Amino acid sequence: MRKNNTSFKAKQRQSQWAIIFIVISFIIKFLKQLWPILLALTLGRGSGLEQYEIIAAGIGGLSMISSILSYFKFYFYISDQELIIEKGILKKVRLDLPFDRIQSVNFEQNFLHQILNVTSVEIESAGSEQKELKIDALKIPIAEKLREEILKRKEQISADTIALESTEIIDHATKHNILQLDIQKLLRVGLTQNHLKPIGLLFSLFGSLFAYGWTVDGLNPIEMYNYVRSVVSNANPFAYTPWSLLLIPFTVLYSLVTTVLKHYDLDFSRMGRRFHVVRGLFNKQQFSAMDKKIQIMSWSQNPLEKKLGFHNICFRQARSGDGKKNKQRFEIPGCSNEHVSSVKNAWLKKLSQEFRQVHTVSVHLFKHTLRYQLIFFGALIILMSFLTQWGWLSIIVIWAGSTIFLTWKKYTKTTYALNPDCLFIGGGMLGFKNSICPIYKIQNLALTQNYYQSKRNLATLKIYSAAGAMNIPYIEVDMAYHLMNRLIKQVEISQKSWI
Amino acid sequence: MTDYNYNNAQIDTDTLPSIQNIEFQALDKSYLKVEVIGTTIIWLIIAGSVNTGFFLSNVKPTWVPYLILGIFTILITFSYVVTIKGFYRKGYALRQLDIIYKEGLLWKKQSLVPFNRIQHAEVNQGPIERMFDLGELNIYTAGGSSSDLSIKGISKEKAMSIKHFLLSKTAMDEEK
Repeated sequence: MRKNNTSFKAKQRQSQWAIIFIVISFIIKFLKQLWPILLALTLGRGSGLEQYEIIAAGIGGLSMISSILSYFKFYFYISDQELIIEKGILKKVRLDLPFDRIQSVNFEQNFLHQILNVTSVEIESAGSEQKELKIDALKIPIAEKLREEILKRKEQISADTIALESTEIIDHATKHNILQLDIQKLLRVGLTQNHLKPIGLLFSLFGSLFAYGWTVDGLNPIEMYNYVRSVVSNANPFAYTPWSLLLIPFTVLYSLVTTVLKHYDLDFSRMGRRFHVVRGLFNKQQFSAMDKKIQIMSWSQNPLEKKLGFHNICFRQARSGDGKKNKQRFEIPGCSNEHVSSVKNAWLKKLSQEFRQVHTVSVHLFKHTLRYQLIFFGALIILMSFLTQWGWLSIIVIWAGSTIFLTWKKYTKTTYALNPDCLFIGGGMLGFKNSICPIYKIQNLALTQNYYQSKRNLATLKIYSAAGAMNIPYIEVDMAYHLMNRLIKQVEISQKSWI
Repeated sequence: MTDYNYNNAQIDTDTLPSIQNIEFQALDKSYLKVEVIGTTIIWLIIAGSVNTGFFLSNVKPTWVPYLILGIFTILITFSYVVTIKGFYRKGYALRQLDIIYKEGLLWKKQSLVPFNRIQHAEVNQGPIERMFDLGELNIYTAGGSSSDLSIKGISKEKAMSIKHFLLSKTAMDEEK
């Protein structure tokens, strides 16, 4: 049964190594769900511990056996019209995926896959019945054969329908390189990443530890007040400054390492009607994104990237599977201005990208946020003056100033524009982030008004696509309705399939 | 593809059919009762658990329960006002090519779903709604759960007939 027949017509199992991956993924899942209990058991005192250990080991052992059994009950094969996966120990499951529904066949190799020379295969599909199939481990030549076979059959089927729609000839096999990042360029890209991200990570880690301490001690408002008071009055904020300077090399190193790990040997190319990406050091990814499945394209630049002329391209694809986020959205860093426009042209094809007028939003976007910021910082400043903590006061004034400045920048960067084909939304704070979405890909619309907006005859227009929502905030109500009418008309007369 | 009979194709954008001046259909009057009952049940549950909490724990400053009681009175009054006034703000409208729903008192929202983007529609009925023979029409698109349109408080019969109408529209769409 496991003899390699290249047409995949007979039932096949995965590579034997798949057992390892099934077991590992099971252990991870097990630990993720039960770590508090396990931790409590290991740290716990008192009698009865042995019983729990036996139960835990029993559950673990049983699940181990079931993972191994599930390997032997997992088959995949190809029929005339579809790819079929059969699995399940007690409850038999048969998944059929018609070739014309398949969007892409992606490979992912983590470190262990690379050592064992196998790859995991993910088959993404689309349509009203969305599902996703995953094969844990296949030998690479077999995986490549499988992908070739699926794409060949898929194109045979879609060739008939496409031929009816257009006379355009598409070359599916030739690869057109767009961007490759060697290690030197990759390091420069790493240097331009957002170095504040790891700080946020650290804060959330400390924050959760802190919150944990509080919940353990029990929440008592008076104790909390005393605690905050003692922290504030005993600590000199300027004593932390040298320590925070020490954070800088750490965060830069962190973003360098994560960038290199993720984008190592990046190869971004175009094949037929899809973009293709290969990247990664320990976790090697190979995936493609069909034009049809991409719903929104964004390109952005932070101040550091601006210095080196790099752009970040981000594609947002329609959700598939059980709302899993992986690869729904992927980013390509280190792109030049030319890359951005060529990628945009390739994706949008004949759709117009020219916008006669770019509109700004109401200044109330800034004023409304400012109102809350003034209340918050005002209260803090009054509290600190009351406690005569001048060091903390100066820190808060700086914090307030920069926050308000960023809110203002955010308002000035928020723009939108519309032409008969596409919707453009500009955003960002210190840098910029622009997004473009073909109107026929819009799913539905909503107009929202909070109390502040109602009073001032303003509204926020929400535009929902299959890859998430976009907002045009704080515009005149009349304008919002006008946009809504125009967009919805385009959606309703459009004959194009959004996916 | 050319025989698609949408008549508005060439009309100037200034004369587009506007959503701004649309007449909305109100919800079934008995749904107000459902909402009031629902709000009451939620408050009973909250009050019950807070009371048990007080009973079990020994709160030190004795004024704390009174403070909480005061806050609760304000919150409860506010929630009933919002429920009752909000009811009269809710409404829906069916047009030739889309369905619109509006709601909200302090945070107003008007959602629009074009028929040719509907993935599926269903009618649900909760236990309280069943007593008043009301239904809940849910309309799903690929735009994600936050964008799905849900019309609560119409008679079950009406909900079913709108659902059939929507599905017939989307079926027509697929044929083309």
